[in-house]
Amino acid sequence: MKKIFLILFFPAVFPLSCSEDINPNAQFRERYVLNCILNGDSSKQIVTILKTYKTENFDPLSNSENPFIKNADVKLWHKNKLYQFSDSSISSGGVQRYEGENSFYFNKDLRLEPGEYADIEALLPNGLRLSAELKIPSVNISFSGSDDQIPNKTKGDIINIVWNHLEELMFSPKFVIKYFDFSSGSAVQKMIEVPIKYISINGKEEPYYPKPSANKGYRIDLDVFNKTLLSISTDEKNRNYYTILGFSVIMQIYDESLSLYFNSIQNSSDRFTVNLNENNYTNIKGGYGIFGAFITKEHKILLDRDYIKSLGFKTGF
Amino acid sequence: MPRFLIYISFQLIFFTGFIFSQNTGNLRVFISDSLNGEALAYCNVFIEESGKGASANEKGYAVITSIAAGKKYTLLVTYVGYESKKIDFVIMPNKLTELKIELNPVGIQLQTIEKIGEKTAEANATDAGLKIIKVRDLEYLPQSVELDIFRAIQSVPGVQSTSDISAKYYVRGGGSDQNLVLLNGAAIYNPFHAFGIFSAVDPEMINNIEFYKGGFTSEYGGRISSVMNLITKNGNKNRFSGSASASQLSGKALLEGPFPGGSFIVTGRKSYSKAIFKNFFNKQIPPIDFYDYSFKLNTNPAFIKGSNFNLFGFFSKDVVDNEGELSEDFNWSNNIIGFKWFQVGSSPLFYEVSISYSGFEGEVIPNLSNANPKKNELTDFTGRMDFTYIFDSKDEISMGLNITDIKTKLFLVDQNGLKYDVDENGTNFSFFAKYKFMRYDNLGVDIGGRFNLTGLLKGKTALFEPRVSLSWNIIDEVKMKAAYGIYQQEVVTYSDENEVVSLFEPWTIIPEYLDASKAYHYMGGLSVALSKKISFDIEGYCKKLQNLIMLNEEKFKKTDDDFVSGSGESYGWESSLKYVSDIYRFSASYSLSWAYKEIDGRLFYPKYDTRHSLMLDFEVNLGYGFSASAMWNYKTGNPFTQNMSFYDKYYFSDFYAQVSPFNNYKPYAILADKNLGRLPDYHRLDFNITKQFKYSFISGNISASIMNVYNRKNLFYFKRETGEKIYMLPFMPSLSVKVQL
Repeated sequence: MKKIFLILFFPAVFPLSCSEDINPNAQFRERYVLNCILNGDSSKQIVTILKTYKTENFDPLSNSENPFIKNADVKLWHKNKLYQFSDSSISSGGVQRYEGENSFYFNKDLRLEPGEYADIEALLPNGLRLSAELKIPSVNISFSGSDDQIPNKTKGDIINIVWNHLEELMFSPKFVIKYFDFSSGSAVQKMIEVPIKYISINGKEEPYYPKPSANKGYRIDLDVFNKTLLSISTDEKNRNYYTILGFSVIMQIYDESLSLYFNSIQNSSDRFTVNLNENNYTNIKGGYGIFGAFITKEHKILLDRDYIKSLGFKTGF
Repeated sequence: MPRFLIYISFQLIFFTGFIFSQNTGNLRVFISDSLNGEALAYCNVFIEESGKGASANEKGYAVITSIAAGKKYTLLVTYVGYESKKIDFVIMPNKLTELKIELNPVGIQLQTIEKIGEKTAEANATDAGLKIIKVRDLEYLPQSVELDIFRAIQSVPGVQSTSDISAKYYVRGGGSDQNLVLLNGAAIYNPFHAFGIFSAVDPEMINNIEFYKGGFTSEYGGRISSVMNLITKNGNKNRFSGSASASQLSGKALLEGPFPGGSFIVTGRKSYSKAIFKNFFNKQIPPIDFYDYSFKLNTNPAFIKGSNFNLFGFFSKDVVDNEGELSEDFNWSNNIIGFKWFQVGSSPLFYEVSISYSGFEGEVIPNLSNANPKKNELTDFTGRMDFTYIFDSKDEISMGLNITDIKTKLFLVDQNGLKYDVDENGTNFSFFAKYKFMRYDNLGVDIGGRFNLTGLLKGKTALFEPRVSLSWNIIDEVKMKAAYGIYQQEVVTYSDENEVVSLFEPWTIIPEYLDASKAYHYMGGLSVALSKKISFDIEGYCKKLQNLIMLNEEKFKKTDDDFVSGSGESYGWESSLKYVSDIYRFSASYSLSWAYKEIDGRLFYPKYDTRHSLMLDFEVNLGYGFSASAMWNYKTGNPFTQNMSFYDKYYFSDFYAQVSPFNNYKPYAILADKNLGRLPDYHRLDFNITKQFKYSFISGNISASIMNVYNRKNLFYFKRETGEKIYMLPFMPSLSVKVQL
């Protein structure tokens, strides 16, 4: 019987070996990354180019070699005009992960034309080429569904802010009250951001602001608006030092590539799901990274004078 | 093939079946527990004088045909854990003689997972790939917190898991959604509690489990990998009784008793502690609450002789209610209700009519967190009618009709921010037929198929699924088994292969641009009784999978398809050696397996591919009501995708703040070819000691278990962005108490 056991059992166990080693890394292959997000509000545009790196352990933060690449030839074409980017660098100053200079590329004469295309190309020192193209989003955004005055006399205690755009893009709105502060004796223009609601965090009320999303509207309680407005001056007697200038919706509109990239970098999982493969959207041919653009549009909504005055503020509109 | 089957059925029914010898009769035996009247499924009966025997079906009925009439016989009834009984009877010519036999349970004795080493009455039973598991036999195995059927099933060779965190199981290279889980014939779509850590099926309500690792016969359909048929208890027919038990996780209660013409049983379980979750969730304690309850009413009305009606229900719900609006909430539930009419005829005929409803709802409510909203609803109405007739020759014919109407609703925003909002519905109207050649003592053949007259996918489901299962007793000690079948699946889960912990795996009917998933099973094996105490089993298999539905990882735009279709293959062999004596039991099982998936020409190992798996199990009866068991499990590490390199990826929340462009970079791993790396080997030793007690009218048991006795650090995964290693279950003691009245 013992022999039968040995014959039958041991061949099965023989191939086993207790492997304790784990190699988290496969064979390294160097790749390159280009990041350029064009700002429609500025003529100064920046490009960064990085290379990939490897570590000998599990921790990528253990890499100390600066990955920013210098001496690349970066060109951008927009409306049939070529924009050459200049090579520059900035000292890390101990703030960033890497010591020494971080290289980047800039152009200070590039103004974007909404609805037009832009093409970028970077020729790396080793001869590799990275390229991408995009369409600057159009500014044709309509707020026709939004309230035209705050408070809205017919809809009561809700402020409706709604917009429409021809393209399915991401929108990053910011709701602000602009005002002059005379409390120091001279006029200082300031603004305060209105949250979409106040939420309780550890027993304390905190404002919650909208995040970039595909949403095309918000409903804000007038109480939230009141609370934000009154937070300018909690002292009722001093409110005449403040002159309310108006309420604006500042809207950043991301182009299609930047919209997809933003979604891919959001941790949209819940707290307990463990996904070991974050999406990696890129529109860079020959590498990774993002070539995107955003433009900014402002839409004003009237404030009711009597309402502002009833709260003790002056009106400046 | 269909024409052949019809011909065979016709010939056998109208010619063979009714060739009665004037000198023979048939015997039908119903075997039950003397204390509670519960049917004893798979019990063995032998006629001593003729050597003829049979095994009872899952309802406790055994039929022996063509017994010479006019003689006095002695029937021997045996069942593990019960005193054997001998009954004298006489067979009348051309009559069906019915016997109802009650067996007395013996005291505490060594319990085993299977009736290993026990010679079955039907040596030619066509049971390739089938494991019969009695829940009471699982109570003595080491437990993770409390007895869990789905975790216990992972000790069966060929069944894999991706970690000891989860109760989800994978059978012979198939995905977890390819496993059909039935409760009294009704499908359970999400049989898990607490994000898949525990099964939602309370073992207190289960009597027996039929578990097909593959090659299942034609009465089962709708999944392409395995079938787990959970058969609930009927309740105590003789007296009112109850039990209560408690573990570090939940409290349970059971009430059962007589009901006019039958019995009832009600069970309930509610979680009351969350502290144990920290071992499963990397020291986090999610605010999970769950409950489940079930009932079954069972009656044999006098107005229809030989009938049994039962009404059953199963309801489970999980809620994760985080504090604060910045965290997401979850809830998901199963609601199942069914009705069955089982009828035994005046001849060796059984038929059954059943209707059932199974509903599943799951939702992720993001509140103000970054989580994306998700909602899934599924309703399944199934009506079924089937019959089995046993001929004098011992051959059996079974036929049945099945209508399943399924509706799925799925709304989610994926990780690319794209909305998926699809309602699907369809009706599968199928017919199955099979013929079991059992006339030869050493040969059994089950041949049949399913005909899908309409499918959920409207024209994308193949009409015919042939199934064959056979067994051949080469000699008394050596039995050969083989099975072949084609299987189809029309509903799948929307699951992400890259998630090592998945909380939301919604069900959906396969979209119309894809075909139904299809599997071809080939398997064969040997069972060898080396002695009365030692048995050896070996089974090889090959499974080819077509139209495997997987998430489209390249979906970035709304116009991209959500799913893509791939293929797969798995093969391997499983062996087990068992030694059973009155005092102790030892088993060693080993499996060697390969699993592959292919999509767009890229071949990869799925996350549950495990090359070698070894399980050593030792149980001993220490006497005085004590029993102890130890299990050691070794397996090669699961596949994972290695890092090819890192780059510093640019992250931003918006562009309002003027911050340095050099402060928004975080390491991001560029992945190498999918799943080519292997985690370190896994091994773990578990230990259990159980003391049964009885004081006056109270009985019960106290069970103490230790998971991972030597605190092996089995790597679960490592965080790519920091390199932090996350391990599976640590050294974990647990205690449970059960009291019965």
